[in-house]
Amino acid sequence: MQQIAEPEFRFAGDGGMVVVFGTKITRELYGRIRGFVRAFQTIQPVGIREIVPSYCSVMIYFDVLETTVDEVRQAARQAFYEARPERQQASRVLHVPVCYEGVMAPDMDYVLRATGLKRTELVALHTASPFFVYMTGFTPGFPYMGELPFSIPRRKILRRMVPPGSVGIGASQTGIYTIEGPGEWWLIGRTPLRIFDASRQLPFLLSAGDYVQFETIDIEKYFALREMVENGIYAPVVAVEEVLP
Amino acid sequence: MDEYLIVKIAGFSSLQDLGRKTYMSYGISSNGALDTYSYLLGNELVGNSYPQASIEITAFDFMMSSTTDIPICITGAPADLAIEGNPISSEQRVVLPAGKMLSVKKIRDGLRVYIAIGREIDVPQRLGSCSFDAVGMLGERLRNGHKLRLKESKIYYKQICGSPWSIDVCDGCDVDTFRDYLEQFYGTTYTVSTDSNNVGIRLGGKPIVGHKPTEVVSRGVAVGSIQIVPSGNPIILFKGRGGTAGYPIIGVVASADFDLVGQMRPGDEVHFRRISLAEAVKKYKEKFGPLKLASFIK
Repeated sequence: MQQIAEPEFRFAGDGGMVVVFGTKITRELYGRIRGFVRAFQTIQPVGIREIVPSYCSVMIYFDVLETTVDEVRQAARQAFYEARPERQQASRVLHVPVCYEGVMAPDMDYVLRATGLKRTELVALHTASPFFVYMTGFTPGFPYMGELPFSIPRRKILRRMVPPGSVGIGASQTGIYTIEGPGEWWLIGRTPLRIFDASRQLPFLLSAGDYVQFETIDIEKYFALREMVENGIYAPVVAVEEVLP
Repeated sequence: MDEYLIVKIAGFSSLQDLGRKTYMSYGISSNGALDTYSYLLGNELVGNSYPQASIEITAFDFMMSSTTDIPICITGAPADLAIEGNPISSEQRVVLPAGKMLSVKKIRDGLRVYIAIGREIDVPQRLGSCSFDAVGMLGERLRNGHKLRLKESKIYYKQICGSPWSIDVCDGCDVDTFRDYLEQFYGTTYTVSTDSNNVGIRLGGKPIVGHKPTEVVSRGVAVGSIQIVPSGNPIILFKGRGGTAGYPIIGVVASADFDLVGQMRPGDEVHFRRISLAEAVKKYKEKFGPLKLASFIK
């Protein structure tokens, strides 16, 4: 049996500890991280505030008035040895229509230059097969998805206002901006869907473990769908499928 | 100038707390407030962070004043309660104004009334308690004209605001990639940008140049994380930050200093001091440990 190296425990100040499992975005790591989180929650260590899993690491927030850094580390080590990787049988696949044209794709030219791809190639690549949602965060419900066959560095200068629904690329990840706010990823399209809406009964359309299948639409269709979304009459297309990693 | 409670009519009253503990095997009884619930309730409602000496009045009328405005809370048996003849409520925090007379009269139904005081009374502790023990002759009854000195109100940790700010920082996850820049970072005086809010506090100053930022896979970032953006400027990610981000992090503000970061004004000067995790934990405990309400932070 293959021996898995113990993760690294790094402290992020006196209120957080990062458990680092690796450096690459992989499905195997995702399964291990989810398994670790479940094992850690089962132990129920005292003084834990929140647990935030991400691609390659887990952030554990704690309160030193109730616990000590050594106890947190000890509990994390125990969870690591007790954890069983999480395996998924079937997944939700959300179909997300995206307009990859004109003003909806302000950084398209940059991305094409940086990757050497043609527009049709990039769109084909982005819509070919479902992307896996590794985690959510950054802004409410922002899905971090992977993985692209190329990697481009994030923008050097933060864009102050990214419109909600913008579909971005950062490094080898892709994501959907859920609210208007600052962003550092390259914008290649926009969806009329609202991935996050606090007024909905289910505020988040996506959570970790889901898939997103992007589909290309033109700008007329974008506005037609947006109107339906705004009137609350658009039903998101969700399929439960067995998707091979 | 010293401040006092002045007992005018003591009746049958004494100072009480939770009593003596661990001396039973020496023949010392606990004593303490005979109605523990009323005693604690008064202390809680008056806002004390731990149970202070209260005045226990038994059966007979009682009157006192204070040389300073003082919060009080009266609990226990029903009685006629008044300040300068104006009725006041029990089980509520009330301020007894300096020089005004508090009266507790006609105790009925029950036997005892408690006056919780929102300041610490300077009273001798005998075997860990101020309570009156008529057998061991520890503590004492209150007398007419008794003056009870009030201790200075205690603030355990004085937070000092003002530029230039000195903010303590622990190493961040990516400190290794900044090894050659730590001296510069901790030696620079930064300026708080007007372009700051609850999400991030942007800092101007000599940018960290030449640093080759390795792209970090997006991961959880703690409040207080100081990320170095490609322009070389630091941003302190604060309480409105997203839970995840991808720029490298040079350090994380010690939790005890979050409050200072929350007070910095645009244009202020700030520099950072590198401290160990153990120092940060110690500082946080010293600052928040004595605050009873700190348990709600979690």
